[in-house]
Order: sequence, then structure tokens, then C-alpha cells
Amino acid sequence: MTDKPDLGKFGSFGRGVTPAQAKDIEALGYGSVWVGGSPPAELDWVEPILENTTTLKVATGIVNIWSAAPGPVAESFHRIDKAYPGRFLLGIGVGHPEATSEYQKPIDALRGYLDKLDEYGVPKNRRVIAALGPQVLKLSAARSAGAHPYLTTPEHTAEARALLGPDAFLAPEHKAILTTDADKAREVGRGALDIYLNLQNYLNSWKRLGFTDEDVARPGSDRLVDAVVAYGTPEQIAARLTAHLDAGADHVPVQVLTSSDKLVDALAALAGPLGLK
Amino acid sequence: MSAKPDLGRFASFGMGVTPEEASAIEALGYGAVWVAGSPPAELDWVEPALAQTSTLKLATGIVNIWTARPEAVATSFHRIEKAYPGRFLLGVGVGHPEADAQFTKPLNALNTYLDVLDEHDVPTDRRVLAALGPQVLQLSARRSAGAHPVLVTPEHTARARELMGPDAFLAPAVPVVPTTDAEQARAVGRKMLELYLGLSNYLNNWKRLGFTEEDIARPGSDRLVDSLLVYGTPETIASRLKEHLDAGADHVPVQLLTSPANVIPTLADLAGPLGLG
Repeated sequence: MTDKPDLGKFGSFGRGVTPAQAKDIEALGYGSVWVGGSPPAELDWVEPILENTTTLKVATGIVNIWSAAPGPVAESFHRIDKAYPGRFLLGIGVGHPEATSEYQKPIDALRGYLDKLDEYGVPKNRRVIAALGPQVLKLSAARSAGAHPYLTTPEHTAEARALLGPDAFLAPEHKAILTTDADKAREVGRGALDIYLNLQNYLNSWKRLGFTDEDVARPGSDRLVDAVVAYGTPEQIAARLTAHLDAGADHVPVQVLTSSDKLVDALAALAGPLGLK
Repeated sequence: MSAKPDLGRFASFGMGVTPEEASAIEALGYGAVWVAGSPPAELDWVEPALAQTSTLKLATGIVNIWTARPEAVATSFHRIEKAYPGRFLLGVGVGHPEADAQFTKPLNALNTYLDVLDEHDVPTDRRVLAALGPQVLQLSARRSAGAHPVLVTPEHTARARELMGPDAFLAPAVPVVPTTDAEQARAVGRKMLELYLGLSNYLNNWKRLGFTEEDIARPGSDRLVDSLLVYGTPETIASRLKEHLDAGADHVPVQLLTSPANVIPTLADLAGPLGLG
């Protein structure tokens, strides 16, 4: 008996969708929409999406613990959950603290934040934690439904599953570009990776996965880019994304790297190969 | 007649401040404490610091427009202003958007944010904008008290003054490493710069100031590091900081790159050479 969140097998991950897009995404058979980018604590964009859909789940990927206080976030959670019971999943994380932030260890700050969410009655199984390394992965299993890794590979998913055990929810984001032109895909992929190639937590995560210093040096080796960005035909992309499920993921939020107006078409192209209705 | 904010000539700039630290900083003759790092909209750390001091000003450097809703920030402003009239300055900025944030142009988003602050009666002369390039500098003079540039040189300050005119408030923050060991200072500086060496808004700004591609390639040339960071004896540091005042700055927030325990002692060492007290 587990009370894992059920978001279907695949979701759409991005900077935000309109209610109309959300409806299309639901109709294509995707189970969720994840919204990235450290949104403000009010989360007032969630209800319009839920209102325009019937079963779609909305998740944050992530609310940044440094920029959104837990009290207001908990208030938003309860407001949303009251109107749309069970359809919102609160993803939180430490983001990438500025280089000068040395006042508190991120994991301690995360624990403090979770304590507050406990106090404010946000259920453990309705939250997930952005996690890459073993410490935060374990914390995610202990104090939330599970983990939402970012820019990882199926090998990471398998290791995370082994570490977390079968009952934890595991939802690794994966990037996709609908093109069979490898050069073009790598160029777009490098654009998306650029900022992360500067961030120690990502560099460490990739090195733990066996990437070398050369692989993770900017602008990132082909090997690295090809591992964290799926491209090719829809069938090839779907196979890459499905590899996360095979490795132990419960749910894969797919971040299609395209402009907002082409998002739904791209998700439509992938729906068949992904085995969605 | 200018309604420029008066924060004295120098301030401490850091990731946070305890009320006890604020009290000690005020006693040393610094006029303000700036707090960086995209804080949550509630700003509930401001009042305790103001309660413990009598003339010290507090400023945000900056509230991030992507992570803190303007309505909530305006509410915090009025709450603080009512309790401690005239002692809080609201710095706002676009931070560094994630690589995949392509949905809204930062300048448009900033204008919209200022519209909402207007609607909620946050006075123009009680806010400042994080600004580097000419467009945002001009916007800061028009729609706020002025600009709060970071990681800039006195040349940038002179150009900004010329662009903004005499009535705009100009407060460039300068990182300081309290050591006479150039190698050590550069090592600390490079660590701090690492994140920024991947952000195109900073790279573009440095190129406008005449730094070459080689200067700004990671890990940053000695020339770049020595221009953006200040180190040496307290007297040397003070004279470098005063260059910003001579170039047209009204106020210089000093960002000490040292351990939290060492901040107050170092500010004390600098107070004399800076002519405070």
C-alpha cells in the first residue's frame, strides 16, 4: 500500500502554460504540467489551469525555498487543494543559491522549510523535493513523496531508485528537442545547459554519473549534451524518455525545448510514441 | 530640489543581517545595510534590524521580480514604512533569469512590475533598480530613485551618472576581500565571480567597459578580477571605494567577501579610512 502521487507516466515541464494549452495537454494524455522557475509564493496561476482541465495535475518544479516563505506557500497549497482536491503537487528545492550565500547549509535550510510545511499542515505525500545527490534524495524519501531530479540520465534514475526504495515517488525531468539534426539539437541543448554548466551541484551530479571534467567544461561535450537532451524522431525521443521509466521512474516530466506556441504540437507528436491515449 | 534617498556614503552589503549586527554597523558610522539574494516578499527580517537601530537604513539588493509578487512586496513596504518611516529602500531587479526563460522580455516585465508598485503607492523615490546597461539605467532614473549596479568599475559609475543626470541616486555595490595577498584575493574573487562569468548581462556589461573576450573567459583575467574587486590594506581599499564617489556615486554598499564572523571587525577596520564615525 503506497500513497504515491499519481501523475500518469508523462507530464509536460516548462515555464508555464496557458489554461488553453493545459487543456490540450490533458487531451493528449499527459498527466501533469510542471512549472519551473522559482515562482512567487502566491501560486495564483495554478487554479486557472486546474479549472480548465478535469484530471490534469499541476506541480511546481520548483518553489525556491530562498525566495518563497513557507507560510504563504502553505496558504497557497491549502487554497488550491480546497478548490481542486488532490490535483496539486508542491515541488520545492534550494535552487542555486548565489555564490555569496554562506549563512546556512542548503540541506539545513531545506529541513527547516519542511518543518514549517509540517507545522502548516501541508501533507508529506503532496510535496516533492528537487534532488540530485544522495543526501537530498534520502531526505526527499523521508520527508516528502519523493524526488524530482533535473538534468539527469536513466543511470541516475536507477541509482536514485535503489537509494530511495520502491515507495518513493521519482519524477526526473528530461529535455527533448524534436529534430533529427544532431548539430541543431546540440546547439539548442547547449543554450539550455549553459547556466547549469556553471553550477557546482549540477557539475558534481554529472561527475558522479561518470562524466569527466572535459565533458562538463563549457560548452559541454557532445557526450554530455546527448545524455541529458533527447532528440531525433518522435520514436527515438520516446524510447529515451521511456528509459527513465524502465530505470525506476514513476513519472517523467518532459521539457520540450521549443517556443511556447509550438509546445502543444510537439507534445502531440510525442504522444503516440509515448503510448499515451 | 531632489528627493534622493540619503543612506550616507557607505553601507554594508551582504546576504542577511541580524539585529545585533545592524546595531554594530550603525555604531561604526555606516548609513545602511543592503541585503541581497532574492528574499521572499514578506521582508519580515527588516523590522527587527530597524527596531535595534535608530538611523540606519535598510535596503534590498534586490527583491527579484520573478520570485516576489509586487502586490505582496508593496504590502511589506507599507507595513515597514508605517513602523519605521523613511528607513527602508526597496531595491528590485530582474536577477538572472534561467536560460529557458524566454517568455517575457525582462525590461517589459520590470516595467509591468513598476506599474503595480505605482498602483499600490510605493513612492518612486523609495525604490531603486538593479541596473547595468543603458536601458535599465535610464529606466531607473525615470521610474525609481535611481540605480544599484553590481560588479562594475568607477568608469561604469561615471558613465551611469552622465546617462542618469545629477538627480538620480546611484549606489554601486563593490566586493571587497580584506587581504593584502593578491593571490588569495583573486582566488576568493574568482570563486565569487564564477556564477556571473556565465551570465550574458554581466558579460555584455564588462565588454561595454572595454574588457576583452579573454578577460571575461572563465575564470576571469587578473585585470578583470582586479577591476571588479577591491583588496589591499584598509587604506587602499578605502581609496578604491572612494573612486566610485569621485566618479559620481552617491553611496557605495560594500560587500565583504569574508566569513560572517569577520564582517563586523573588517567593517570596523575600514571605518576610519573611509572617514566614518
